[in-house]
Amino acid sequence: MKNKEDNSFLAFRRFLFWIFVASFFIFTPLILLHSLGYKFDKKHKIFVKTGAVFIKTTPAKAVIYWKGERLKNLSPCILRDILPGEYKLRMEKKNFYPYSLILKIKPSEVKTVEVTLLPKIKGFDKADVECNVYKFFYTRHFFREKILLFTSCGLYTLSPDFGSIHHIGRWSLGAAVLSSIVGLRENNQTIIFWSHNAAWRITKTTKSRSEILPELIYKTNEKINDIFFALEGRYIIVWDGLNIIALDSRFPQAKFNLYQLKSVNAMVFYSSGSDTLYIKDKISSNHYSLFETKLSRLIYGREKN
Amino acid sequence: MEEKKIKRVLEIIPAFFSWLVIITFVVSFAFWPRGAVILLMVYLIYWTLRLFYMSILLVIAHLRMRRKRDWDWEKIIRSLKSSLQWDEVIHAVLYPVYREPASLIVESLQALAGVNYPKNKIMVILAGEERERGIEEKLGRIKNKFKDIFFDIIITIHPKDLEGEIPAKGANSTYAAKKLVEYLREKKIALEKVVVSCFDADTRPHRNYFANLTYHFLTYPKRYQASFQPIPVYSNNIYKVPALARIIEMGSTFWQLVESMRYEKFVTFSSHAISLKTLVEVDFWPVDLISDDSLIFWKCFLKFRSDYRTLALDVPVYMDIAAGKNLWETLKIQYLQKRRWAQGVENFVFLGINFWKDKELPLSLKISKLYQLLDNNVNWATWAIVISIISPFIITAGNLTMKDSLVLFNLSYINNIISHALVFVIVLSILISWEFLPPRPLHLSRLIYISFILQWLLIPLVSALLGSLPALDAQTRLMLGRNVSFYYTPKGRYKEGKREKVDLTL
Repeated sequence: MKNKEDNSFLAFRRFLFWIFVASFFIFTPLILLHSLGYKFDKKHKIFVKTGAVFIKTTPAKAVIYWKGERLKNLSPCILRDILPGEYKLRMEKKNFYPYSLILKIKPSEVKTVEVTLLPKIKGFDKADVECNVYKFFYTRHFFREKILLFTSCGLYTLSPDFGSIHHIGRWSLGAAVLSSIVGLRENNQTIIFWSHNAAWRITKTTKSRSEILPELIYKTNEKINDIFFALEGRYIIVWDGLNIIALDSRFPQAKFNLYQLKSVNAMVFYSSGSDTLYIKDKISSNHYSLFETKLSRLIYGREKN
Repeated sequence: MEEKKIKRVLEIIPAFFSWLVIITFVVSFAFWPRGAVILLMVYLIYWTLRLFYMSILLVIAHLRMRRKRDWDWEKIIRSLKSSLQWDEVIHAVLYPVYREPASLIVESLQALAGVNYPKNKIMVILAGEERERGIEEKLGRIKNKFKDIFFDIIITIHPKDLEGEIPAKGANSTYAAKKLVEYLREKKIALEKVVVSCFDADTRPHRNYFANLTYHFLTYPKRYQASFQPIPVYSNNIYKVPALARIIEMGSTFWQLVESMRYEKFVTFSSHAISLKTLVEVDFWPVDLISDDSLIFWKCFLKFRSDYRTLALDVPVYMDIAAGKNLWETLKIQYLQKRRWAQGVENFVFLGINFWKDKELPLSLKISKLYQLLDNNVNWATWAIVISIISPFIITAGNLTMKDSLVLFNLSYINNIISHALVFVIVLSILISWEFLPPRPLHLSRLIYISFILQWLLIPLVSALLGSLPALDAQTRLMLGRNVSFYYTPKGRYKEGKREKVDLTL
């Protein structure tokens, strides 16, 4: 009796034991592969390495948009099996400003996104812009007004009422450069922006589909006070310390001095409509006066010389 | 000379593997954190599955015990048709005692007197140690109190410093069993009909213990090639001891329940029973080793060429939870007691040496039994340390050094899932442990049950501190060749830090 009972239980226990052994050998490799970020790509029938993102918001329970699609899960949540690449993530919660960003997912890595959503202030709208905003410039070109936004994710243009937003492209400019920008000029084809000791240019040729490669067109040890487009954009005029310098738009490295100011307190203004350069400068030890000249005369005269 | 070398190697092996497991985790985390995380993940999966497997066995064992415990075993054995009749069987209950208070022994004998079995078939051997001053007088007074209840009460005093012996329970039990044999031969009682139950001084058998033991003894075809193991339940003083002591002892009970289901691997532990005939044939318990309770099984296993097994009884025996007068002392006592239990690692050495000498037993059997012991001991010494200490360390330190790693993130995630799954095991443990709770003393509020539930939160701490650490300590000592003396667990109950007063008027 005892042996019979024993034997039947032994058979059951062995069955149970082998179930657990099989579970171990089946599930462990699967769990490990999954944990290491491997995912089976049914389409190409290969294992691909993925990454993940952990999203946490304060306050919690924010609606999450991943690649523009609303997810079922609210924050905090984890998104797994994401193929490497760039993705747009957006978090929204009622009575809080939405927050968006571009995430770069790398294989076998977990990106942690911890965001504190800002409560909406009555009467204040927030620009729905991804990443960190370093500088903005309000520009008026002909009759079109817009805002140019310098962010860690690239350059944006916004309509003055924030109604439309356009991401011109990403760039590799660091926080130090972006923070140092002090001025901007724009014409039909070109945007020039500068810090106190360098100037960059963005044109159609320096911009690919998604990436902007700003071209360094001027560098100085003095201090850039202002930059203008002149002669329908053929020249770029840089007011650099006591010098007024002209750069050829086609070859910015070809530059020449137009005028030497006498005082650090001088003022310069260029009217593109009349092609006139106005200069306030010192005429004697304590005396300043205003001068005007046609810039074209100055440039072509110089070129002739 | 060669035997000495082999013995030394066998002494080193368990600790070597235990330390290897621990060091592998630590070193790999230092030099290859990703590898350590993967290793840990595999380890956690393995242990989770193992815990679930053991939980199923625990539930089955518990249900079996609950179903059969209260059967009318006396009636069953009376109706049995066997070559040996139930009333021919004499039960000799051996109590090796050393420094236990008289009150505790009295309570154990009172419980013995309360069993559902004819007392004239039960004899008691009170085995004292000469090293304890006044022992003869103490045991004499106890004998007087119970002399008319049992078949007989024999007092034996084990002389101190006998050659070839160490001061340990096994030596005392062996001396007493030899005296018992002399006594039985004098009385012309056949040794084949005597079953010896070797109890601790605080062991209180379930009322059906002897009837159930008799049943198994009579019905098992190879009754002289079997030991009989009741389920040890540590609950006599459960309402008076700190939670951490309750938890660790409940763990011991659970472990025995699980082991009772793996009967081809089941080994005697603590209070157990064996035929006196067998005991004589194997020359009694070992007198020079500490873990006499399990070694007796291996002695029999070798003697009967592996055709020997431990039968699980369907009834428990109740014992005290080792405790001191305060938490610190309880912790110390528990640690030392568990280290003594873990000194059972010497079974591996004993078996290894004997297997080496034995040229007849099949190699596969030798390997399987040695692996069984090694696996048990190495897991005992490492699992809780890895799960409760190394695993949180790797997760915490990893979060500082490799925060962006997906595999680390997933380890935390898996660890979290496993923790939630283990809640199920804990709930199961709470339910089963409830079964072993004796009635609540009236002066205690029902609120005490809250602590009996919350105590399970201490599991990670307790299992590392009083589970794995003492085992690692015992194995390391064996590896380093340090002699360890037998630790006599102080028995006695305390109330508000003072030894509880029990009626000593005998």
